[in-house]
Amino acid sequence: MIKGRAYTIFPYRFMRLGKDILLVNEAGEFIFMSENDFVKLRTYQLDIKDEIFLNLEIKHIVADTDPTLPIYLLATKYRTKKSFLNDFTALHIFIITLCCNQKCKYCQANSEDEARTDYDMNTGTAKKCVDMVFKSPSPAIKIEFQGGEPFLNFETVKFVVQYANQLNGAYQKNLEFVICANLLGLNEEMLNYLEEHKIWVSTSLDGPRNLHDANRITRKGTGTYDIVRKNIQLAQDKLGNDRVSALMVTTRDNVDKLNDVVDEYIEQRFNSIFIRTIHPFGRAAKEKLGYDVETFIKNYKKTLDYIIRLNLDGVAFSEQYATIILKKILTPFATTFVDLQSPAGTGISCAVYGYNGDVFVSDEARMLSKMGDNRFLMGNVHKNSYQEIFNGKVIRETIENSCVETMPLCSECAFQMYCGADPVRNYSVQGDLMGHRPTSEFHQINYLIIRHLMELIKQNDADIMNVFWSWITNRSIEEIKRSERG
Amino acid sequence: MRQLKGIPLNSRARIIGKISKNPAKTRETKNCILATVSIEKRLRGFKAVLCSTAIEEAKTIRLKIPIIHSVENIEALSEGDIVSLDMMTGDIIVVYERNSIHNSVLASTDCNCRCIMCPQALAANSKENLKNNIEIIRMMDKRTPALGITGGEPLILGDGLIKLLKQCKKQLPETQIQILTNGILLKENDYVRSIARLRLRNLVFCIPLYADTDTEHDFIMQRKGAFEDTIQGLYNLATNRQLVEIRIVVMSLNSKRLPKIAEFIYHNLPFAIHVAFMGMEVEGMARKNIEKLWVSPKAYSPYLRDAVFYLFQRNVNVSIYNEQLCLLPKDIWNFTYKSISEWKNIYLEDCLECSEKSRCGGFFAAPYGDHKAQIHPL
Repeated sequence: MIKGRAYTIFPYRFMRLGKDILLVNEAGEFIFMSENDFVKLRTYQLDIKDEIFLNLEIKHIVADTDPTLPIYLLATKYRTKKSFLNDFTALHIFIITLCCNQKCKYCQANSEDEARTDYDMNTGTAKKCVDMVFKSPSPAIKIEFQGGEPFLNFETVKFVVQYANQLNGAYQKNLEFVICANLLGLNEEMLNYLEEHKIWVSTSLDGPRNLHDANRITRKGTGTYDIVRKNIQLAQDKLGNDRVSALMVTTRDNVDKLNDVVDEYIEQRFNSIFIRTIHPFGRAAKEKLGYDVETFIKNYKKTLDYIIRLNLDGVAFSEQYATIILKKILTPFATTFVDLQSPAGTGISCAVYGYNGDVFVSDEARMLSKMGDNRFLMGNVHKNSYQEIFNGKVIRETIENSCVETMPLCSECAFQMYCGADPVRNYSVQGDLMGHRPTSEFHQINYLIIRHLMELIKQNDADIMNVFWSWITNRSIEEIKRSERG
Repeated sequence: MRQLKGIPLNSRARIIGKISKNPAKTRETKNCILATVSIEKRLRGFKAVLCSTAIEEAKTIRLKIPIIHSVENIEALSEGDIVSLDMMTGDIIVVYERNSIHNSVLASTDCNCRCIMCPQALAANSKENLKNNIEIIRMMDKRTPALGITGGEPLILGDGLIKLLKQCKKQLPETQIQILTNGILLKENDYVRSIARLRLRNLVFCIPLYADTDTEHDFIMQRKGAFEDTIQGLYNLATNRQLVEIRIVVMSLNSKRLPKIAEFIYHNLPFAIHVAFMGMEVEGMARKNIEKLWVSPKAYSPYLRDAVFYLFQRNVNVSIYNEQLCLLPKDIWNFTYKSISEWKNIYLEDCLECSEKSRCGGFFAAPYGDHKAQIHPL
């Protein structure tokens, strides 16, 4: 402590939010204070007996005694928040085939005709990929089948499941499988197989018929809503509601009708939705399906509010992106969402194995490759060793350039601990891994969503906070309020 | 602890044994103390005999066995209870009740702190104490649901505590063992590791945290650096995968900060399996310092409510101990728990007509005057 001063000030980041100042410590814990108190804090004029001083002290922003303990606590909490780094790559995405029976207008993967077989992953490549997966030190391994439509090459799916389970007999990892499919060709035999091997299903649903069929169409151009709806029900009945989830893409068509999309999800027995923005890759870029940031945020806020009201009316339903960010803001725990972390999840949390054995740092990276740019190709399972792929130049560069702690503008942002970087997107849109925040849509959307959630937290409305905590702790709002009935 | 009294005969020693109510029972009588109405002729093998009727000295002189007769309320003793007999005075101290869920072992009568609200009378430890405790544990029923290891500060026994825990592991493999400690000595990771190595499956460390800042906590514990040492101890427990419960005794010095203490716990000690807010036991130092420490439960219940809801909302297991329902808002009744040991537990005259008496924890033997005045039947 400097002589003559009653306390030490620790590092924090801050931002004006309404009339108040938001202060966030190195571990992501936050506090709001008035501008007047903020000035006092910075000029060492706070009374160490004042309540505001004590509140700052337990956030480790100030210390009036030996700072050893608060530094130790901060370090432990920082490690916990970054504990997603401990185990290395857990999510392994297999591009089982590039062929698809749909031709969605926003397809990022630029899928191929379903009649072709030369874009299928063969079992020889699949075997090498599984061998590579098990070289990851992570105690938890999730293998995700993607495409194209993975059911079109179901033999390879079955081979991977069988071979991975066989290897796991020795490795004893926590092994899970997910199949991301449009479900168009789902049949009884496939369902039985999914049930028997406890495979999770993730499908796509963009809303009610008119919104879903606006973009999700077959190669012949016909809608897919009816068959998808029927097959979602079949899968839910067979595997259980919690084993089947759906993803949606926000396009120009449904961006102002997100409440209808939510209603559709509830009607189809889903208990959450992930309101995802469109990625400017593949066909999506050409078809002009996008919208400006302002339109998206306006509608996102409106629908988030709608979902909160639904919860207060007794419908347990969550928005997953908000849940992830709320966990980052409100809990001391790490999140495992690979698309919003620092350093980015590219390669170190997630890897993508192309149909021919090429290994990429992310799904977007393999899409870039399909368009002819191999910037994020880490290697190939037929040609390279695990060390060459996962300790090579590509993964190192990608990670080095995706730490928000060192990125311009991010380094001083109060939301730093709640945010993350997407070097692949930065590269594809802005031509540079680090990107340029003022013109980045990724930045703008995340900043505005985090800011909106922070404003709601600041309001501290008891009902809204109960809804948020029900999402974070995965309990119904009823359960949280039950205790109050005495 | 429950205590009975009678007139001693035939010995001047201290005797520890397990109550048996069956004079014919011959198996395992070596450690048994017979509790009966009157003494019959043949009494082989018992360690001592307690009886409710008065007996003439002359008649029993030939029986060499230690006897306490004229014991009042002898039916309060149950088969399998463990008693400590003072043959000098005739005092019978019940150190273990087989049918109770509140059994504990007073592992240490000494402490490394002098907390300003400490209800215990402290004294230097004797070597006998550890030996006796190990013997008591050896006699306990294997089905004992829970056992507290209390003090004073049990950890100042050092290796002695390890010996005690080894006996617990052997005799009470299924029992929930709770060590009540201030956690200061757990700052030595080697010591924590040596306890962890015992691999007791149901061991919980119950550790008090009186404040969210070092200044206040150290003041309450009357020891500089206590906060830092205890937090370090808690982290050592977490890294060694030991179970932790945090206890907060509510007093005037911390009552307004209860929600902030809850916040501190959630963010810094999220590994705690249970958090308990506890009413103050007005005994010992607490009685002496009562003017400085007292705050009525009614006055602090809004803060208590906020703290409890803060933790419950975050899915933390939270309870309220030692509080009376008539002084708490109804919406936090669900968190209260009848936590006072049966032998300490009393109700006031007003309580007898209360409709919620069966749900209420009642009092320690002695409620403070101001406290008593606020109690009313529901």
